[in-house]
Amino acid sequence: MTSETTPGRQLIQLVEIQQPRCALTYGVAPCTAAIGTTGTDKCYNTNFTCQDTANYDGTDLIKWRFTTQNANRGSDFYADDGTTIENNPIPSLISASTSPTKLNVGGGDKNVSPFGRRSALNVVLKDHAWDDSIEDKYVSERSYDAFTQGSFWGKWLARDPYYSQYVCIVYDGYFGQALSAMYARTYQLEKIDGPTRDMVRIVAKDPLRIADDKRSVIPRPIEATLSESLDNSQTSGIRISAIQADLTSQIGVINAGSHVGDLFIRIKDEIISYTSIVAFGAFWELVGATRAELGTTASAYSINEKVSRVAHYNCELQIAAQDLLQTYAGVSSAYIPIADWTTERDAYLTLYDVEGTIEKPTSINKLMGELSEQCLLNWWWDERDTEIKMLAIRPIQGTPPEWNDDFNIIDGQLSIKADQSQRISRVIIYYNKIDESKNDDETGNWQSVTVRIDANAETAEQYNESRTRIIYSRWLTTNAQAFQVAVRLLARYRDYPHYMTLQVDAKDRASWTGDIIEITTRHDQDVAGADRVDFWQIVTAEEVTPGHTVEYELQRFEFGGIGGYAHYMGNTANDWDNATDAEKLLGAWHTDINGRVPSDNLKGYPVQ
Amino acid sequence: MGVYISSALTLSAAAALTADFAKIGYQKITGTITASTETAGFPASAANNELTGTYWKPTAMPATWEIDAGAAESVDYIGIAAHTFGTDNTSVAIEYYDGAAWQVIDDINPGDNAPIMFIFTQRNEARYRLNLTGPTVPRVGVVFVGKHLEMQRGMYVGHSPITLSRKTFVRNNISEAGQFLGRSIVRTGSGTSYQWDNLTSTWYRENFDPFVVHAQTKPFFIAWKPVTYSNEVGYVWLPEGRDIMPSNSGTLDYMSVSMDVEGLAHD
Repeated sequence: MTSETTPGRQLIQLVEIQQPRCALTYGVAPCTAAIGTTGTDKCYNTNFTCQDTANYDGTDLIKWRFTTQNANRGSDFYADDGTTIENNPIPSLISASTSPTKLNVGGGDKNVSPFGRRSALNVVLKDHAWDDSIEDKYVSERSYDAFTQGSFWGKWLARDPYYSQYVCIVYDGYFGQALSAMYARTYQLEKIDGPTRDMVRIVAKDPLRIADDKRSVIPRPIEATLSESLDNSQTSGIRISAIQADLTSQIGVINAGSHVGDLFIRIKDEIISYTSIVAFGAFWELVGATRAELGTTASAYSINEKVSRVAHYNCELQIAAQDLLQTYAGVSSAYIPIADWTTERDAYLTLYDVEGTIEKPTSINKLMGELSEQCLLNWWWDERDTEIKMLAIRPIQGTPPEWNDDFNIIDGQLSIKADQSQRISRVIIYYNKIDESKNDDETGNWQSVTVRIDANAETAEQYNESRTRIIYSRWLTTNAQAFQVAVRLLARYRDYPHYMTLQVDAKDRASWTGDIIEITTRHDQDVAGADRVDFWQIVTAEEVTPGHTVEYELQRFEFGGIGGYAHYMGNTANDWDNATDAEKLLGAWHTDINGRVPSDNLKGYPVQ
Repeated sequence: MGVYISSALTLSAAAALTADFAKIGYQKITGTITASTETAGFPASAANNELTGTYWKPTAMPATWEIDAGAAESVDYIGIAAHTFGTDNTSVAIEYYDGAAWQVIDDINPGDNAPIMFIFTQRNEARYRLNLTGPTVPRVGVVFVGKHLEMQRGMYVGHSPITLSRKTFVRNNISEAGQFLGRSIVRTGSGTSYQWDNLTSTWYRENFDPFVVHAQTKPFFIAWKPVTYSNEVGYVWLPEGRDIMPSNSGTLDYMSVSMDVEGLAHD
């Protein structure tokens, strides 16, 4: 079997588009379509051509596959299980290139959102004649010859313009491999241009792109006004003209603190909490209202004053992130491994339970960026694992792969740069906002501030300048949180962060975004001129020649000098030989006098 | 495998002289396509188009694939490409229907998956078919049934047979320290060029130009020296932007023409 380590491995790349189609048969119950009544010809089992949309059942699927023009020999992937057809690859793929995800660790790169850069896939396919044998159940009944009339993409696009968010997968492998043995990267269709000059150009992006959409905001704008005037103290008789659901939906997640169960509205600069509403004629009256909430000041308002909703979170950070992405950006829950996120939070981010208020429509991208920067973690779309990863900025787990000049790094493909723009010597974090209605940069409106300065870095002997990063945090509430953020950011960025770009052969392509690599290269030396052995974290990964060469951009890893990271364990914890995986992940044991665990001969870490 | 000159092919003395001239199979008769069986997604009709990425695949062996022209049609070649007869150890017989029974024109076991041209004495029948036997079901991507074009002149020097003209694009990875890390075949294919000289202008216009019109859009079969090198058959197409254009040569009314092609010639 051909694999990454087979000399002369023959590359194959396939692009798959998953197109839903109706499971019903035209005119057969429950489909009520009938020629002469609902249309002049039968449908093409797409929603757009459906003549009985009330009964459209898009649970069947066609997995359209395309491959490079000379790569068809031996590719026999056809399958049909009655609901999903997987076609044999059509040899019309001209190119499939990617713009990879980029992590912005600690928000250091001001050219990229702290939420990172989205990955994108660009595919060019040749258009061609097509006999409709896969997709048209009624091809033999048509009045025309499908092969000579029109083209594949001309017909496909005319029959199914609702392709946005269809799943698009790129497989990179070798001739003779099963699809399951190939590396797969998953995206969502965004647009298909063409056919132009007998080609179509397809753009697909990672599912987090919808968090970038300007329409993905929280709280969502509503149409609501006061139906009666309001003085500056009344807590009853607050009546609003609005759609009921706009006033009853919980915006945000509150499962801790004093506001559990509360809902919030905003009138001008005042935030009012309430617990429910009751009908009052054509209007809705607030129940359990409290004026001047969240540091705001009560005022009197006239009838018809605009009313808007306010979002409030008081929960674990991964729960806030899940709600933002799933509820307000529309990211599929299938892509959010909340159990894994919670495990990561429980191990490394227990300090970061967040409380924050969003008083006006704010993009999900901005809020996720704030959480990333202020809680010291990254989220990104992992196109290989088909899920959104959450990773704390934390020490290494396990033993990273080792790469070196001999066996891994391709000749002439390594470069190192220092990004001077990211260096900082001071971190100032404002938190606990007093009046949520006021702008962030009104520094007098913050109850707490943490300042951390690396004075040595500012001396004439070192960098001879002061560089400050200011964070206005809606999420942090304690000095412990703010202090740790400031210390970690300074540790990572008090010196120029170094980035390494290198290429490796496909035999090393198992490593991907977020992974840590131990790298030894003559291009990175210590003060004695010896090759330095150091840890680097992958911030972008791209198969530049799929199946042959992978290019990585890595950032020198802050925790490189630390071997492990451990918690104190309870007095009933197992010893090493009986320890569970969870205990080994977080726990600590003393080694023997030789610094090793006798049963496994593992070397322990020095306590620092 | 290659060209199969039917043992029943009868050649006149003049024809014997030209038997080794290049044969081009581009014309196809049209008709109703049927097959003994079809696997879902692999209809019989898929072998009747020029695409190498769609296939007919029976569900059981033996299997037949038939074209019924509805009325008698002149046929002297059958081309088959994008098949797996070699992989599946398939024997293939080409047959015509004489009104009472199917008659075999020729039958072979090609032993590989390379394009095939059967060339035989012209028949004038309505129904032709492939009759496949073997242990496992193969797939067939392309079948051409029709009259071939025999070139007016032979080819003698300078030609690189397509089966010997592999185009392999490889990339190596060498480490910083000079170690071999990997070698990949990025893509493979076959390509060559053909040239004929001293074609009479009348012959060119009457016989070759219709082929040029076809080749502008569609692939074709070609055997450059079918008797001497019967294995050297290609199912080929013109590279993008490479039209075929003749040139007048010398003072006599002769023309020369060349064409570049790429396509299938191997397994």
